[in-house]
Amino acid sequence: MAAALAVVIYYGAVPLAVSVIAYVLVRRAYGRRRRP
Amino acid sequence: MIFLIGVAVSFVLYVAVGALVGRRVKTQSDYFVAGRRAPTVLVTGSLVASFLSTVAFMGEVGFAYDGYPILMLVLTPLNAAGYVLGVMLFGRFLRRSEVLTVPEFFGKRFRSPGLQALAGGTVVIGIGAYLIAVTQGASLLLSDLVGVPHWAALLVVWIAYTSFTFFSGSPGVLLTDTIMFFIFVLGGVAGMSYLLWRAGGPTTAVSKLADLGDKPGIVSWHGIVTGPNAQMGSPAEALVWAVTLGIVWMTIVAVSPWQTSRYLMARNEHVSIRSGVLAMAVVLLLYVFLMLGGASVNLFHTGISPSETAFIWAARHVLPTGLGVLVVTGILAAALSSASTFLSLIGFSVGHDILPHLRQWKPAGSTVAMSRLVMLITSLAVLMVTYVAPPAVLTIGYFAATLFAASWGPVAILSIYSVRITRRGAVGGMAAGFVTAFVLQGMVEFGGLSLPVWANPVILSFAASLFGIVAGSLSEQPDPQALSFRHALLRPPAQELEHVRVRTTLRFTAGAVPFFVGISLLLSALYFLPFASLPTHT
Repeated sequence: MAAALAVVIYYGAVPLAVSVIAYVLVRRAYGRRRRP
Repeated sequence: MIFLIGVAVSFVLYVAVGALVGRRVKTQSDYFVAGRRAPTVLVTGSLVASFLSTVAFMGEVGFAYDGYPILMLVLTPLNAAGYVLGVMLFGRFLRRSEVLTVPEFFGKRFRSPGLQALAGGTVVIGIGAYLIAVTQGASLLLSDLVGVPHWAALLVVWIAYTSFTFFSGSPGVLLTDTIMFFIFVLGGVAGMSYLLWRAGGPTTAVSKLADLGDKPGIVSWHGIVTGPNAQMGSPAEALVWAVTLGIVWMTIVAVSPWQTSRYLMARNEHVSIRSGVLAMAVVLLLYVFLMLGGASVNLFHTGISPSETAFIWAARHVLPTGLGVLVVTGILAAALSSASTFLSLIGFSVGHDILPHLRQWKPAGSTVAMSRLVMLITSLAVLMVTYVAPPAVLTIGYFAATLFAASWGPVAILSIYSVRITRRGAVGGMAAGFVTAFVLQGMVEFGGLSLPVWANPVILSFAASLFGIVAGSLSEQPDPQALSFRHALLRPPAQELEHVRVRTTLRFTAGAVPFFVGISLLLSALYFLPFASLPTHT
């Protein structure tokens, strides 16, 4: 049962983590600090 | 008869849309990259539609039906994450380069027409194989559905996708891809939801699946690992398979030409990023239904052969007629959308990346007309090969994926993030990855070769590609102009820094967080809670 629970959590956690990474990268790449 | 009418109406719709859009194609930029004006919905639709094909709706649903629905759900998050990682690490820079094809990007980045031609060659061989697999799947489905000989179904499928791709190029492919995307997502979610409901709901379905005598362990995370129906020898082998293929497919959606070329058509970089986030979300949502639904087809019939037709069997024998027609039309749409993208990419590569490199070939007359002619000739070649090749939808699809992951993955990422990789390094990496994957994966898939886990062809091909990059790059200095090109790519254009654009993109990425919490809750309701309520766990 623990393995089944792990799959369920992992299924949402991987894309969630990737979305957070994207948020940070977008802020860094296009955020105010980079404005000319 | 009703299935035939549904399929015929959808085919006519796609061809009509292609003809309508094709009339507006005037320039090479229109034909190749849709004038770089595509909004988020079209880029997302085309990303997912080009990716999902008969490999997903027939091959992978069949794999879930065979006994591995949850194992496929272990693979999927890695695969889908490739959309966002890919666009952030590669896709947005590719779009910034304003090339017409992805091989052209490599040619410009390393100032090497030879590399462009080599990358174009891998497109023709790799995507050509994939196109054959998808065409096979679609024609088998159509032949089975309407009871016509295989050659006739093949001809109809070929005419359908060739006609609108040939005439309308990328604008038509974008639009028809998006129409098809809505049809197959709706068909997949509604069809599989109905199957789960007819099986008595998730709890009853999981409970009955757990009791299936000839598919023991189908509801466990690793699937069947014992008995005559086991395709995996142990849970560890199943995990290695899922993680390895998950990384392969992650690389594919991150760098493969049939995915990243969609970003070349985006209106701006932010559209590319938002589309990547949406594509990841849609794929994850759809796979929950496809895999659990695919397994639950067993509750209506356990002996469907080949298992690749499980969803189609359910559409014809379990689903209400209207929903069945939607599902079958959706599966054909998934096939046609991938086929049209593949054909357009092969045609573009032959005409734009390979032929100009051979003997200083120069097109006579209009380049759009020449691109169309090249595409038609290419398509005829695919038709002939598909006619004689034995059917192997899933096998060929996974084979082609490995080819691209190994040959393009390391070179694409290092082309952005390394100042040391040189032209020779890029050529060496691409060639070594391609040849190693072609030989090893080919022998495993088609020659019956069995390798230990540590010698997995995917791992060895990635290693060969990295070795080729290092060996080639050590033998020469990077070209200063190539480095200048890379340097320019790293600076975002001023318009991409506009506050409104950035804010909208940030909202997309932040809004995805609660969505993925919801996905976990959905999977929990459909799988974990019913599984936890079983008296014993397999």
